[in-house]
Amino acid sequence: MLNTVLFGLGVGIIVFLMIAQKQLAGNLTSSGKGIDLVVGAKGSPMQLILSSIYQIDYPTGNISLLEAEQLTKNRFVKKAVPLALGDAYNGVRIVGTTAGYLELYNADISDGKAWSGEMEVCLGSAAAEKLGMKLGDEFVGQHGLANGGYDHDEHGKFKVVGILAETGAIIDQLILTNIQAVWMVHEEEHNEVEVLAADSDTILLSKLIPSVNLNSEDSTREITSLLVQYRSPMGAMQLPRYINQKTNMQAASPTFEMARLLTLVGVGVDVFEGFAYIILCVALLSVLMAIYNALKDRKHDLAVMRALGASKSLLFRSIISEGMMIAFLGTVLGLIFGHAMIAGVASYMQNASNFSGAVFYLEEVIVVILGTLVGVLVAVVPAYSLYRVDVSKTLTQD
Amino acid sequence: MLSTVGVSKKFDKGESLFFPDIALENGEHGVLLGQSGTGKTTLLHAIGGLISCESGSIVLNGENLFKMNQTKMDVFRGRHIGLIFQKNYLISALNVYDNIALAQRLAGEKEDAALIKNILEELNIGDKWKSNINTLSHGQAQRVAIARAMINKPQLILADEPTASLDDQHATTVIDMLKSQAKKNNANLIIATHDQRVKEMFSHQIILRSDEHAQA
Repeated sequence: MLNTVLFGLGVGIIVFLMIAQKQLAGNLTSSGKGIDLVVGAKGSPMQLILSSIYQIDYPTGNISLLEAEQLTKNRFVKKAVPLALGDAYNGVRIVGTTAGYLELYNADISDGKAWSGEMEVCLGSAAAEKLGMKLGDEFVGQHGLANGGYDHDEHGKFKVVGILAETGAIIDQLILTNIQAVWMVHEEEHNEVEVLAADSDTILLSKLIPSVNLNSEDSTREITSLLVQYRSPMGAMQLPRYINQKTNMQAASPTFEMARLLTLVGVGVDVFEGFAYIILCVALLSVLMAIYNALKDRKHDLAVMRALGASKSLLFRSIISEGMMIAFLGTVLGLIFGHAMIAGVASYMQNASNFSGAVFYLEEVIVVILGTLVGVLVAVVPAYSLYRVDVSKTLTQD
Repeated sequence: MLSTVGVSKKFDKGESLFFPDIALENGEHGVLLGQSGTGKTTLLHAIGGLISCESGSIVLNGENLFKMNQTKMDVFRGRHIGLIFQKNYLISALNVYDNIALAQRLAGEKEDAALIKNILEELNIGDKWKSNINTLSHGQAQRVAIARAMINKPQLILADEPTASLDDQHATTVIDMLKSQAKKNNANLIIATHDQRVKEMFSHQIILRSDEHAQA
């Protein structure tokens, strides 16, 4: 019994790694899909990617809206989505952005409508579930991205107007609103938020953020970062270098940074995986020992069964199938362990990942088949030794 | 009907045992006598097909056991030969009933609950059929072993020292049981023993002597 559990533990860790890698990779690709470049304040490029795309790390700082605005005029830029970060509510990040962000992830509104007024928000499907909020609910954002920031005052009261359909990408985990709302919450004097004044000649409308007048604030407006889509592959050659050399901003490529991250993390995963295989080997050895010992105890029983007419091959088969049963149960137990671990991790870091233990992969069928086969192989040794047992001797000795 | 001719067994150490010939008519009983080490158990196991011998022939009801391959011998033994060992060797993971049912199934027969209960009744342990093996007394366990050997109505019953640890009264009872069960099936019965009490109950005696080693 203990061997079955041990065997299950080894299989469980391997299954855990398998699922974690799959879901992580799936998550990274779906969240980073369609984003060719992230432009933000100078600093660590990986931090910029992690904070702006995956909403994990803290932002590198702010960039001037004016400068970002100029970038959108670059001929290589097909689409640019501005982000304003800085607040969270109960651990769920509040992201100030535009409708372009929804388009980026093909996110549909499943309930209610998109945000339009300044203090309206839409919830990602996972965020709505986690916060337990529904349409019409109101809440006050907390400053800072971690839990436990101070509450903004009543002026920063948000109202839920929409809930998004599930996409499997990071957008599920967020609270979305418009950029002006994030500005307003952080404004010292709340009445200074600029709304379009209809009849002025000097108005220079923002291309990035509809209804924002760029002139009025003399370029003091800031955003956190800009998600950029290239117009052509040539953009990848020109744009990052231009931004990094000629502006106060930095450009980071999600593909490049994520590949770098995965190689860094990969070493750890490899070590972990090696460990799992060692556990599995120990488990297999102990299963072997257990079957062997059990057979030694039952040597007389098996010899008597031979005397009663059971053929060698019948007993051989029954021992093999016993090994198969142990391995099969162990493997199934392992799958349960693995999924439980994933579920545990998912609930532990719910705002940063889309991990789920309730997903099954085709590979798991292969794991079950392989595990059971290994059990058969392991049982062959004791089965063979029993196959050769001398019935007469066994039944005359003690 | 059982006849053995010129059976010998060579051991790994190089010494050989040569056994006297046995000829039993249908339903006839015999007792195998001899000191320890004269090969009573070896001969019994050779007749039961549990060990192979170098020379000779053993013919039971027209079938030459030495000409069978291992698997065929296993099947033949299960169907036609009932073995009672020095120890009971009952399977303690199973209860009384299942031990006997196992013998039926391994012999390729259908499990027959009525037959099993019937034979347990005959051996006066009918109420024990659901009991755990470990709760049985020595005498009861031996009866279960006898029932197991008899359940497939064997043509040959081989019993190795069945009375070794029994008092006079129980020894007589056990021998009577073996005799009556054998008689019921018109089977040959061979008992290997050095028990003088048993010796007196059988007229057909086969005596093994240690000096037969010398012929090796």
